[in-house]
Order: sequence, then C-alpha cells, then structure tokens
Amino acid sequence: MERYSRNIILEKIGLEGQKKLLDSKVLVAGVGGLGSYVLVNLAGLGIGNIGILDYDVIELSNLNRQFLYNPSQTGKLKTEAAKKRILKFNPDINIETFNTKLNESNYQSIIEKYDIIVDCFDSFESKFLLNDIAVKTSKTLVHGAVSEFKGQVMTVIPGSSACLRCIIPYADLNEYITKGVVSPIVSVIASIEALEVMKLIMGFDGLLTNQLLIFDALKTEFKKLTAERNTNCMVCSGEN
Amino acid sequence: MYITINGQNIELAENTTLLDIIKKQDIKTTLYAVELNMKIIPKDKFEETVLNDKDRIEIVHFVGGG
Ligand SMILES: [Zn+2]
Repeated sequence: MERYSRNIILEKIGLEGQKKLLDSKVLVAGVGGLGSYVLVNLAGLGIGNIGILDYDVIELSNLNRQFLYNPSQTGKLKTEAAKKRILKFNPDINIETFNTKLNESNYQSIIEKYDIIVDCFDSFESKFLLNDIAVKTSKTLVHGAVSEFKGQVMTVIPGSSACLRCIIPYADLNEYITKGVVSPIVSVIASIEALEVMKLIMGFDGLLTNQLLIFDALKTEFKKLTAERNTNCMVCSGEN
Repeated sequence: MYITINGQNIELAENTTLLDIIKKQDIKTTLYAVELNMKIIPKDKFEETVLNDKDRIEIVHFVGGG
C-alpha cells in the first residue's frame, strides 16, 4: 500500500477508495498511443485488474508516441510488450492480454471480465464497433480519440447517457484518417480518459456523460458540448 | 437576423432551419456533429430546428485516431 500513499492521503480517495481501485476491472481496447498512456495512468492509480486488447505489432513509426515500447521490439506483439513494461512499473497488477481483433463473434468472452472499457482504438470502424458492443453488453465505455492536434472524450453509460451513435448516426466508417498525431495531444486525451475511469470507480461527479469534450491543442481550447440520448438511436434506443 | 457559423457572421431570413444552413456548407466528411449554442443537435432534428437571432453554430469534426 506504500506505493499508493499519495492516492490514499487524498481525502476523496482514502484507504477505502484505494481498495475500490484495486478491486476494479478495466479493459484497455487498443494499446497504441492512447493505450500506452492510459495503461500507465491506470497502473499508477492502482487499477487491480487490467485487460489489454490489441492484435498489432510494434513498428518504428509508433515510437513518436507509444513510449511503452523500444526500437529493439519492432515486430513483437504490443499486448505482450505492454504487459511486460507495466508489470515492471507495478508488479501487483493482474494483467490479461488478448491478442486478437475484436469482432461481433469474439467480444463476449473478452468483455464479460471487465466493468469499464477504455476506447483507445485507432479507427472509426473499431471505435463504433466498440460503442455498439459496450451498449449491447451494458458496459460503461470511456471513448477517446485523437488526430493531428485535436482530441475528444465522452463517457457512455449504456441506457442512461448518449452513445456515439446518438451523436453520429450515419457515417462512412471507412473514411480516411490522417495518421499524423503528436505525442502531447495523445497524452492529454489519454489522461482525461484515465480520470474518467477513476471517477467512475470512485463514484465521483463531473463525468463526461452526455457531454462531448473537445480539445484543440493549437488554440489551447477545451469545449464541453452537451449531447443528448437520441430516442431514435439505432444502437441504444432500446436500452434503459 | 444574424447568426454565427464557424466563427463567421451571416445574415439569415426569419424561420431558416438548421437543415437549410447545413445544406449550404461544404462538409467533406460524414463524421461530424453540429453544435448549436454548445449543444449537439442530432441530424434528424436539423429540419425541425428553427434558428434564432445570435445563434452560434459550429461544425465539429469527429476524430478517430488512437
Ligand atoms: Zn445511442
């Protein structure tokens, strides 16, 4: 517990709160840029059970932002390299890896082990699939995304707050995304995602539910837009 | 009446709807949301949303990287 003393000293966390964090189960979906920073933050908080889901291998071009990895590991699985690195930092965490691409037929056995899913995926297609799966399985989703110098975060509590499809119902999910992104925007958005996880577990107010947080780094501007559940949402309208 | 869209002031006829004004924008993506006075308006509500003087509209581009 000594390593968590700076958490526990906080009145709003305390020993009870730290135990809640240690008992919690969080799935990190994607362990590229966002996933790297989210994992370190979750390990620092003392999230006791973490799942890491990814099927990708390490490439040199990842290393402008994916600091869990080093150049000698190119070609190796990200999940295994991430697990190794995080366990070095915090050996007490129980980490399970899933070296697979999430799809409609394999999600059940992965998702059921966790209470909260953190979206660190890197395409619209995978992000919206994750949204749909989270709603279907009633798992809380912390959505985050980055590109260039911008990012966004929204927390989805299925049946109670707006999901991604409530906001963007019709989209071409194969639309081209620029691969350009800088590390600091990734760490800002990932840190906000990790804070959402902490607030969810601790039962704090101030969640980004029914709110889309947008950060524009070039303007240094945060914007919190109000979103509402769409009663006609193709994904979550039947849930409550 | 005057509204602001993406930071630009424009004059509009009374009873203009959000749909009327969004149709005139050259939006090059399907992954966007429309914000009216800091509130996201779902696409199926554009037609019934009548704009008022001093409304502020912004096209918000969704990003998808990780
Ligand atoms: Zn929805």
